[in-house]
Amino acid sequence: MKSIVTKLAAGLVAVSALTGIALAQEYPSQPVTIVVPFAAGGPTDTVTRLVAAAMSEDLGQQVVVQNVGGAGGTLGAGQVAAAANDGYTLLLHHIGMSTAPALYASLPFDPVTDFAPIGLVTEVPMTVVARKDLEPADIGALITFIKENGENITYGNAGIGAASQLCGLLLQDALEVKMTEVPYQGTGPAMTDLLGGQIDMMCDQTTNTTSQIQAGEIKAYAVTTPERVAILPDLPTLAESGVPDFNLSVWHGLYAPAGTDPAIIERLTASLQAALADESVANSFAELGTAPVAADQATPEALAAQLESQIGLWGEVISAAGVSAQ
Amino acid sequence: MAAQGLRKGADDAAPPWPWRGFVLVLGTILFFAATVRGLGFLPTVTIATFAVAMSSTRNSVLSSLVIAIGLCVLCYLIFVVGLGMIIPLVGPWLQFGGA
Amino acid sequence: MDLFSSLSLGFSVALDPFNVLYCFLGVLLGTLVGVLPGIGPTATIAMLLPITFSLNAETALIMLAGIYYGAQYGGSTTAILINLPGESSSAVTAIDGYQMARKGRAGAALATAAIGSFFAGSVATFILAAFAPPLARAALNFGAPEYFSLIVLGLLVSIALAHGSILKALAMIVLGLLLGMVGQDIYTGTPRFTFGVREMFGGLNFVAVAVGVFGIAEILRNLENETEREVGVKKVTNLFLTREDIRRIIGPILRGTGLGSILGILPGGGHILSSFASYSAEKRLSKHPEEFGKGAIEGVAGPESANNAAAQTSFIPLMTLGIPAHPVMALMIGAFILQGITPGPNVINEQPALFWGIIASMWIGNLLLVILNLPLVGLWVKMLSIPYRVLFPAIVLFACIGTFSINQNIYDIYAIAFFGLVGYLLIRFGCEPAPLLLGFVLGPLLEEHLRRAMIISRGDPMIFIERPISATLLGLAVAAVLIAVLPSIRRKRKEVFVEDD
Repeated sequence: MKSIVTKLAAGLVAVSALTGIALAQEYPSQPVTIVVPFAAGGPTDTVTRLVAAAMSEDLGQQVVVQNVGGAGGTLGAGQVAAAANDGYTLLLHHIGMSTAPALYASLPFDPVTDFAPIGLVTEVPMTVVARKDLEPADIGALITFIKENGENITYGNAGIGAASQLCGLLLQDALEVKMTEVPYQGTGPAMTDLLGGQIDMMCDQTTNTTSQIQAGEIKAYAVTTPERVAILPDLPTLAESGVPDFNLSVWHGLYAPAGTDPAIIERLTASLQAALADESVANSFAELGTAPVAADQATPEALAAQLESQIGLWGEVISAAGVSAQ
Repeated sequence: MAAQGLRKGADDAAPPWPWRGFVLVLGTILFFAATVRGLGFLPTVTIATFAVAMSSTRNSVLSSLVIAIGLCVLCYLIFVVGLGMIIPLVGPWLQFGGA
Repeated sequence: MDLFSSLSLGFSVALDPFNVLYCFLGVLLGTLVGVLPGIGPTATIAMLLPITFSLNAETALIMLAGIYYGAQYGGSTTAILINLPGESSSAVTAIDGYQMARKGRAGAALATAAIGSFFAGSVATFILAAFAPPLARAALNFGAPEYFSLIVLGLLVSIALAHGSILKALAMIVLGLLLGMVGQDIYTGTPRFTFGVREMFGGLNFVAVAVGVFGIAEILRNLENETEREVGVKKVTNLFLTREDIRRIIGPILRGTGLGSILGILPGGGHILSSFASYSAEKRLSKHPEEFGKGAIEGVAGPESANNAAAQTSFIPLMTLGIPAHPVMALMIGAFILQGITPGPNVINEQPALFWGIIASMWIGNLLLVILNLPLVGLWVKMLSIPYRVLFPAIVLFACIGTFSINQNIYDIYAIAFFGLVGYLLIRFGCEPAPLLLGFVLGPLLEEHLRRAMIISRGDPMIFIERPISATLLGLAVAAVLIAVLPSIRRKRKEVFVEDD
């Protein structure tokens, strides 16, 4: 029995020694994990898996996607914030990174100081959609309709802090009107009820709405980005339809824990840019109704700037709307 | 009513409370939760299995050890090799020479 | 394209040897992970998603679908053999399946599950092939008020789930409802009963609760008195079904298939109800309701069939509308997208080979499953000859690792320990864990749909009566209560109660 214990202990020491040596060698010498703070199968997960597959090729190491869902993405983000800053645990988070400080009073991490940004990944446009038998014919008529009917309009969203809720807040803010918000647990059930005509309107990412719009199952009115979207060229932007300066997209960024070696960050930024330049990634993104960001956006500086300005914007919008997640 | 209450417990008299089971089985589950991140997969599984096995009076120290090591290998093969579960095999608490 | 030519296209895809191979791999993997306690199809599909990158779309999706319905087969195995359900559906199977195993009839229970699953899976796949688009449309008529009424009906009817005192069953349902409230309020974001622990914002994990109250509690019970009596299940007497068994399971399998097929189509939680509903129905219809909970073969045949039928028809909203009915279907959507196909109403027209190929593969998969599982019954039963002192540490560890692998959330493991203790105390005090699980599963749905209906109607409760489907369901619920309180029935219940003493 004693010999078994000794062998086991020897084995443990050997394993830990091996990992020690491995860490000292050139990065990356072992698989890299990207944490997605949402359930597998969602749009953010899909984006991450596409990028991870392309980054694996560039880094010459497997890039594994790990889903750590819960508490509006703050669980997964918190886990990465606390992870070793050796470049082997990364976080791919979306716009929720900038809304968390306003939504959660006691956040276990600081989005700015606890992370080292690597770069922006993609900015997914959102679409203002409605059940297919809603009366207004175009976005102009819809805006009038919203202003006239206000709280009689039911507006679905995917829950507290979801992009669809943020879009609704921003839209109600811009139109100076209140609608009846109907929260769901995720986009899937909300879309189901929109398809069934149980609710009137929604504003959601092209990743979720494009196929339904193209099939004529729901009515699309406008996109939320400053420019029109390639996959839905007929849809006007909100900005050109009388809601000036309306600009909203679900931006995704890649982060490492704060204090990661700058050389490793540089390597990861290069790898991210290579992945985004990959034609198959661009094609898959196009299928989702989005596109990779330009190379000059896939940089730590661009992501840091985006994060900072968005934290400011959402802090105001969210506290004005009186929304809180705890 | 009392008889009915214990219906599923035993056929005639009330069985003794399984204190050893409470402490070792439930304690081990708590131990597993508390240490799986820190100690890592292999040490936690081995120690936890050993402790659970000891909760049965039919297991000796030696047989518990054998079960522990056997199960540790089995779990490693199923979850880490087979299903690609992402978990440190030896956790940060044990990496003296490492990062 | 008519059904016949569509199906021949489908079979030409599904019978491609490469696809048959991957279909087999899928159902085999599904069976194996279904057998492992704790770890379910959601975790497996999430882990295997990257592997399917290298396959073409048909093959990848055929394999992933195979994992899903394969796991439904396998999930009943551990529920029956060691009282460790991995999903809400197999929790119902555990009630009577495990009691059968304790009486030495594990083989018959497993065979019943396999045969019921095969029949249900095949019929439900036919429904999927023949009527998917119109059924999906019809299911869209179910809004929040309808779901609320459906769940009320389900809860009232399911009081039959317990086999002892009604009072205790009600208490268990209420406890379950309360436990279901743990987590963040989805309408306001307010955390409830989370003790400020962020890991509990998502609520208690079902697998952790089920593994605790069934599996761990059972281990504690077996440790009570192990020096005096043989623990675990008795030696298996005969592996397969007697003529009498076959006569008894035909009705439940047919009814279970029907119920499951209908409920599976509803994307708002219908599949969760299916096995509970089937169990209640069988108990109501049985001439021997007192046998339920003590190893009634109908209590295995009905829910297993319902569960597999629902598993199959829950593909209907996914494949025809692109909307997921539950987490596994959400993962399948992810898999579609990763393959460059956006799931939605157009898939059936734009990708007919894929759509019909997946459907045809389901028949092949179900056939493979029954071929795979009937011989496996013997093997699984042999597993019971492993000494219990070796088996139970394995159960505990598999449960912990499996549950941990779902969300990497250590609070889920703490929950296993807590509910293991709760489950054991319930056994000691003669309370049934099944109604507790029912309340736990349906409570959050009930609340969600009630509040959503009230938001949509702006606080007007008439919405439940004004909408015809909702009104009908509520009417049925009232009828169910009336029948339950009718004197004759009450006398019958009392008899059951007395016999229990």
